[in-house]
Amino acid sequence: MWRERARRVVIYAAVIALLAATVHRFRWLGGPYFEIPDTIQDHVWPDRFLSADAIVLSRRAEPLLPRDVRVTVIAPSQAPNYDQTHWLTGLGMLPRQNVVAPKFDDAAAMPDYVIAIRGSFEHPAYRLVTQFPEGALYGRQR
Amino acid sequence: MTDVLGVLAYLLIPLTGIGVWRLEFVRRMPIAARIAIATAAGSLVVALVMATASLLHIEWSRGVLVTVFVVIAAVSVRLRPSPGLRPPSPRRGGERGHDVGTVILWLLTLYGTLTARESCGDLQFTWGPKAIRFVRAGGIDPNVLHTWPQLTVDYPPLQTLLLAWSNTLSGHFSWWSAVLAAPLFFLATLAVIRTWSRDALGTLLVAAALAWGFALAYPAGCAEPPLLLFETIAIAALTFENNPKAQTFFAALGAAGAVWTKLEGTTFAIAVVVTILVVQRNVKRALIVAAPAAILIGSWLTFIHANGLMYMYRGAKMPIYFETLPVVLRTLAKVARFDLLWLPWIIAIVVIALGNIRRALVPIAIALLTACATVFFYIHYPDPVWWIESSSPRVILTPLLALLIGAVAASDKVRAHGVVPQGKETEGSGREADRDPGRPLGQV
Repeated sequence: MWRERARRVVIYAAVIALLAATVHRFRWLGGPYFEIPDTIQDHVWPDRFLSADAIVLSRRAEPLLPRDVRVTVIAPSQAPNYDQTHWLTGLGMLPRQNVVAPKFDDAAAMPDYVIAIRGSFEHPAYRLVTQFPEGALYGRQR
Repeated sequence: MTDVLGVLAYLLIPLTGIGVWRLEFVRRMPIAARIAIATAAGSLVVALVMATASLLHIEWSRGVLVTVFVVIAAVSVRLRPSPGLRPPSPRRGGERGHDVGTVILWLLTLYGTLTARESCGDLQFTWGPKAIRFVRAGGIDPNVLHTWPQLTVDYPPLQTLLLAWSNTLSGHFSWWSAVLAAPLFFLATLAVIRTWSRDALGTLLVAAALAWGFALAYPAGCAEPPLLLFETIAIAALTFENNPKAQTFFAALGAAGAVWTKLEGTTFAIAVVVTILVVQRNVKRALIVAAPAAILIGSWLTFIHANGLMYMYRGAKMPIYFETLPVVLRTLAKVARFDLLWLPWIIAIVVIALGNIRRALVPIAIALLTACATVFFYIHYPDPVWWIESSSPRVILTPLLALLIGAVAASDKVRAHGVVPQGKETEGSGREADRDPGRPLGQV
């Protein structure tokens, strides 16, 4: 009998602790708390992830990109070791284009367009197409 | 509209699995558990239909897939015999409060998902893009996989196919429906545990621990939520179900679903089979449970091998770096803290210790085996720290879930569930078989 009582007490205490921890974590991740966010990555960390901007920028750039062009997504601040999850995000967001890995040292492998997350992309072969609040779109000069 | 149709695709999945309601031991379950079981079976049906269509070069389209699924659902409903069994036993007083608590914890998880606090990064750069490329190709296209820029080329197909089904119905890929599938599978998981254990308090503990685990592990949109449902069905059936046929069927369903959902699903299926052999000492059941899982994973491996797409599964041939064992154990222990001093594990172990450990032998064995398999995976890399830190919060949800089910099973209040067929394993006819308190479950 005492075991069942002890079990009950232990479970109640654990549930309260786990519930409080979950609520605290959701609060720690930051607001707004009662709005459907713009992207599925908006609140996964207190600081906004670059990948959330990769999603938004891909959406913004898509109407400007011709079908089947080669495009990549990078955060210029990470050069030359770009986070591959950014261009892989573009793989899903830009299904009508040919999303490729960022390779800028081989002319044959260079993409036609570069979506740059936060910050400007400086490369002699590319010119600015348009600026967005979260970054910019660059096109290759022919 | 895309998101509404995307979510609708997931809500329709149980209809494709409603054929399991024909089984007497499913029919006697409460409606919530029946829907949960149909969700698991339906997920497998959807994946199998879409994979078969690809093999037969039938291009996926909304018209084709909806027609096939409607026919499957209609035939299943039509063949369903009329229910003639007694309704489930009424709820005991005082349990309603615990059930309300469980619903609150589920709603909290739903909130976390809806506000993008539990989204899985792999969704947007692995699962989602692969599903989108498949849909655009009209099926599982080896050419898509040949040009796939990641090692996940040969990853089991079920999660990708569920996403592709949602994409096919909605027209455009719905990222929100992909993450919202997580709380739906979580709800089904809780319904299964609640029904089989009949322990509202124990289910409340599982809900709290998994809600916290989900908040830390970011599983929404990844394959863990359906994987955990399949695993729950297998573990809970072997733990709580008294009807031998039901035990075998549900364990087979869970193992088969698991092997097609994640790489770790295969090690889970092996753990289930080993547990049946060692704890239940039932060779026949082990073979029957293993058969569908073996056929499914064998088919997938044949497909990827025939198309020269073997990558991740080739990892079995990789060298083992035994010298990394201390690092692996240290890093895994760090992740397993769950930012709460290992509380979910400690509570599960304490609750098991307060009850009867022999009743929890099946889930404890599966927890230990899957934990060992996790370590075994990680010692295949010379420098596994980053890999462990990024993937193991989700991977260790499996041994945690098994241990939590063990905590539920160990209670004196939990009774075995099931109607034993007349004249067979018990003397009664259609009488509910209560357990011998000192004996491990599942040895009827």
